[in-house]
Amino acid sequence: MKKLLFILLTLVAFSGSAYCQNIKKAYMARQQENGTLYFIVPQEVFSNKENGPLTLDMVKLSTSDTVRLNFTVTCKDISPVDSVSFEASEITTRVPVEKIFIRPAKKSAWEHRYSLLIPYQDMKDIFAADRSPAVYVHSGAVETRYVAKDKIWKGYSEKIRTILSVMSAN
Amino acid sequence: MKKVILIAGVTLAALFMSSCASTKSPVTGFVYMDVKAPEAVTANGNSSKVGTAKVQSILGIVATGDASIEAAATSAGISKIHHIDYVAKNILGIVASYTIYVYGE
Repeated sequence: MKKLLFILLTLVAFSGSAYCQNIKKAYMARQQENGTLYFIVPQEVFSNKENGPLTLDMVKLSTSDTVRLNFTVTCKDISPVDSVSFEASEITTRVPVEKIFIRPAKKSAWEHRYSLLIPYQDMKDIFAADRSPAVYVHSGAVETRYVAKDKIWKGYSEKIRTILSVMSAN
Repeated sequence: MKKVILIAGVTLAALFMSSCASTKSPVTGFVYMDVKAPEAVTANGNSSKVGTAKVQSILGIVATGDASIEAAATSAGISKIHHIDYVAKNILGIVASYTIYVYGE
């Protein structure tokens, strides 16, 4: 009985430290003169049946009220994106984007990479949602919808909320 | 003839199986490695953007990717680099990856 309890406690201890290690791998923090720069590493969270995944990474300076989101999508044609909107619970946020590049990708597709600034509070509200928000990528009159699977969203949003707590605490 | 083919096949298999994926790192861990280390630094000031680029190797046989500073800087629209770090990972010499993180504005 004592052996079993010891094994269980050891497993619990390791699972806790493993979770912390997972969080540490999900972001980087760098002290600099104008504050702490946080970088949340690229993750494929959202996807669309036709276009595939939307890879997302984020940068936030501790002294700033905005978060820079960078995302990459792959399209069959060159389709310049003008804005992105996030639909989470009752909140819809539409934000203009800046193009970083459009270049050829594998399988005759085109890789589009864009950057946008979103208010920090809006970002917190998006990641507080239990269910995945819908991300609409607008290219003129055409909009492409990306969503995350529930399991993936649950893990990812939990990581982001923990990282946001780290940002708030420092 | 069959013996020759068999010996040649076993030798080739042994050669392939003895290959190991590897990547540069200040320290090594042959079972598992996940290390972050510095790559370069400049005299430029604060950063507001971070870009990444990655290469990986499987068994030291197939290696693909683009982990150039240019690729990482381009991914975030960085034109002025402050510093560069890298993360080296290796699992049992089977899969190894090298990712650079370029900080700048």
